[in-house]
Amino acid sequence: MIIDTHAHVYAYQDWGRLAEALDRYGIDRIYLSNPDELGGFYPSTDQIDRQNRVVCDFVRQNPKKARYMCYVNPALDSTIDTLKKAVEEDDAKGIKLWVATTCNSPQVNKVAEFAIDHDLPILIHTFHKYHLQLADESTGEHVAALAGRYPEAKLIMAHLGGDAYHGLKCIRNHKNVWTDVSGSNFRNGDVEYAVKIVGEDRILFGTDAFSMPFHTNIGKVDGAAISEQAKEKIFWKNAFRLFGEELG
Amino acid sequence: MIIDINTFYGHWPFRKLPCESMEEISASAAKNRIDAMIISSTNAIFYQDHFDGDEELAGALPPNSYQALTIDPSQPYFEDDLRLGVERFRLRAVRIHPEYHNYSLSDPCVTRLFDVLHEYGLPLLLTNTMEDPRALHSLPQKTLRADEIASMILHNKKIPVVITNASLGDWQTYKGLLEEYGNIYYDTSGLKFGLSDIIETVISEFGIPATHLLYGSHFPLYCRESILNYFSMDPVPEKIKELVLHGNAQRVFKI
Repeated sequence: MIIDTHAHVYAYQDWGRLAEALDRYGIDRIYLSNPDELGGFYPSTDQIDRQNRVVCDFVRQNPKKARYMCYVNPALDSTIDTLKKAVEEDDAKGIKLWVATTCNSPQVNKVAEFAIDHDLPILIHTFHKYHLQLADESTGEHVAALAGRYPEAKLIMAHLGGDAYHGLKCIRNHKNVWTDVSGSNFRNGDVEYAVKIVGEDRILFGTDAFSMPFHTNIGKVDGAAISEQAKEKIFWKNAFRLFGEELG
Repeated sequence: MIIDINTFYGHWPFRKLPCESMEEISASAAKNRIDAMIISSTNAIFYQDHFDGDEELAGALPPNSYQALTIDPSQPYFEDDLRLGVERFRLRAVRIHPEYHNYSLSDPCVTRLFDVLHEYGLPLLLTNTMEDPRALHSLPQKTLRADEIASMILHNKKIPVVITNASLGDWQTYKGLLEEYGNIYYDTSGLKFGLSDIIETVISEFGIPATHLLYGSHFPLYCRESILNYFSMDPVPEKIKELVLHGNAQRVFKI
């Protein structure tokens, strides 16, 4: 069983092919957002609404496997309205933050409080780089700061923090932060390191599909030198507990 | 049959890897049904005498595998080291790491290297990057650019050049050179994009001919399973599998 907690869907893609891929690669559930199809790093309310609409439409067409993560730009006054609609009308299962603000910006406070009130995990794009870091791109430090300010919030530090050796130790002591393995990297040892630093109960499977291959992300967990129990937790059990949803 | 043309042996100083010993490398090969490897020395990159690293590798080399000698062409003795490597080791290629050594691909020493490799009939393995540039160690490291690599290939003897761990986007820089000279090859370790039928997409949409794509894992820095899944999770035609998984390597490296 595989639950993909971090993937994206866009209007320009062949949705029939996407749905077929879920079956082919054994993905039982996939949590989707659309953070970047229209508005670049700093989208407007209208752009966000249209991007979220794409995800909702795909989820409606694939109700058995697909789930909606509501993307927001916390700098916008309309953020709470976007979130209310996502929960009340579109059955959002979580919130997605990208690079419109760092996740510990005061503008994110209202998002965190909403997430706590509605028991929604927040998936945070997190990528530390020594070169070409985006202006408002969150790193593990930012995630840790938010986690400390809101210990009741459930946060997901995406991509193991980008550079696992930077991000994971930042969140090590914050038990309300999970991390996902998604992305283009399949460095040998990263999953093992994640288990060592944050433990096997706080790691989630993710891919960054539908652009990044399911194959490589499945391979890096399958190939990791960790127990079969840990792999099962990563592939689905941890996500099952975090999102609190029955499968099937 | 599977030949992995891009495997490393030795200690990688920038992060702790789960497996660095030859026993672990061989165990991974057995687990993934890899029949032979072309192995390069990681230690050779960083030893002041690179040849020391290759002597270590030669002493540990599994009987079914081959060695790529690490050369720094800016060193005045590199030709003699190459001669010794050809005499002593089960050599099938030379590997260079300009991103960690003190020369650029446009230097005259690289031209001399190409001339010498042409005399020996040896291919060149060139690593585009050892690690994803976004996740490099904090110590400053050079990164290679596709246009530099393309210029090197254009201005030197036309020996086989196998570029490892390079992106699909960079292939567009090399495509024209391949069409004119036919001597550029890619390994699979940098193929990190796509939804399904990845290998067929790489061939048909990105234009890397099946005859110029070689299975390489970049192990133990990268997970072997990740790329091998492209061949096991998708219905890759047998003819393409044969070429990519071993046929091209047998031809290019004379195995």
